[in-house]
Amino acid sequence: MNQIQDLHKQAMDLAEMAQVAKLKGDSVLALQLSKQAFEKERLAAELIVNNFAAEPTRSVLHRSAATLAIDCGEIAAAERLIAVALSGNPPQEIAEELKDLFVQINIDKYFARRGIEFDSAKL
Amino acid sequence: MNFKPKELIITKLEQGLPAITPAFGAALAEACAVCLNDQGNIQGVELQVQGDLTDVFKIYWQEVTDQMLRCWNDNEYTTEQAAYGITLLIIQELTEYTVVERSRRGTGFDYWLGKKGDNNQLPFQNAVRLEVSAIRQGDDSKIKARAKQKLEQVNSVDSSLPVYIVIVEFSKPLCFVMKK
Repeated sequence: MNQIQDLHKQAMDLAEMAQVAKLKGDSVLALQLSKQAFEKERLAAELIVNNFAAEPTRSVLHRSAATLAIDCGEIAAAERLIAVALSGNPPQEIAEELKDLFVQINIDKYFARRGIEFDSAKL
Repeated sequence: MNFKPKELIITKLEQGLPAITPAFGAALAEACAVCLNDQGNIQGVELQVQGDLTDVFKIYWQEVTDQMLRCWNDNEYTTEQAAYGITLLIIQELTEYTVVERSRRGTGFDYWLGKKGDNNQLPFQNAVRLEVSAIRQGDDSKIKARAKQKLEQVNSVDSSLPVYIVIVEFSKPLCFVMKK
């Protein structure tokens, strides 16, 4: 298995373990595992960042790393990963998902800056 | 002629698939059993596969216990999980694909399918997406409406990624498959 596959698989295994820890109510362990999963997926994404022809792998790995970053509260890192993914050649549907993810993490702040109360649960 | 109908043994999910652990597969099998029982189906009832794939299976599932009913008390969630179970088995049986990963998209629970035995150097290369929609009890018009809605959803994006869209109904067991 090559390094990207290997890192991605480790990231997914850690993410699953984080979900299980969350279900068991161990939020400290869940956060720890989420951070480890995020780091592994970020490394996998970095290995392919300059290979613009490797789609959908490049954009899916970046989107996945961004999702994991959000899981562990690393919002700025998530934004950067989304931007890097969109700077390549993502298939349109992955691009739409990346944009949705960006909106999801910014919509509250957008409305707050305008003094509007927004209930994201109604989305 | 000795014609033996195909069988779909739901509990085979307990063996797991590349992206389904045996424990999760067992849970999906339980959800299937609860939905099929709830709709008054009897063991060996025919499951029709229609659309871009066609076939008929006699389906069999485990006995439903009171504990299972209490565990799977959320109808919507149970129907969704059961639909994944049926779909993953049908895809495994009727196509060259198998489930290789749950999508880590922010929302939804679709899966990535990959060719059986494929050993790509990069994840997601040549992969196909799977979108599943579940209906516990609905007539033809409801199934058609859901299929239309899903098609419009897919067609609204100029997609370069192939996708299987599957709608599963449990009262007259049906698996409607579209490939785009």
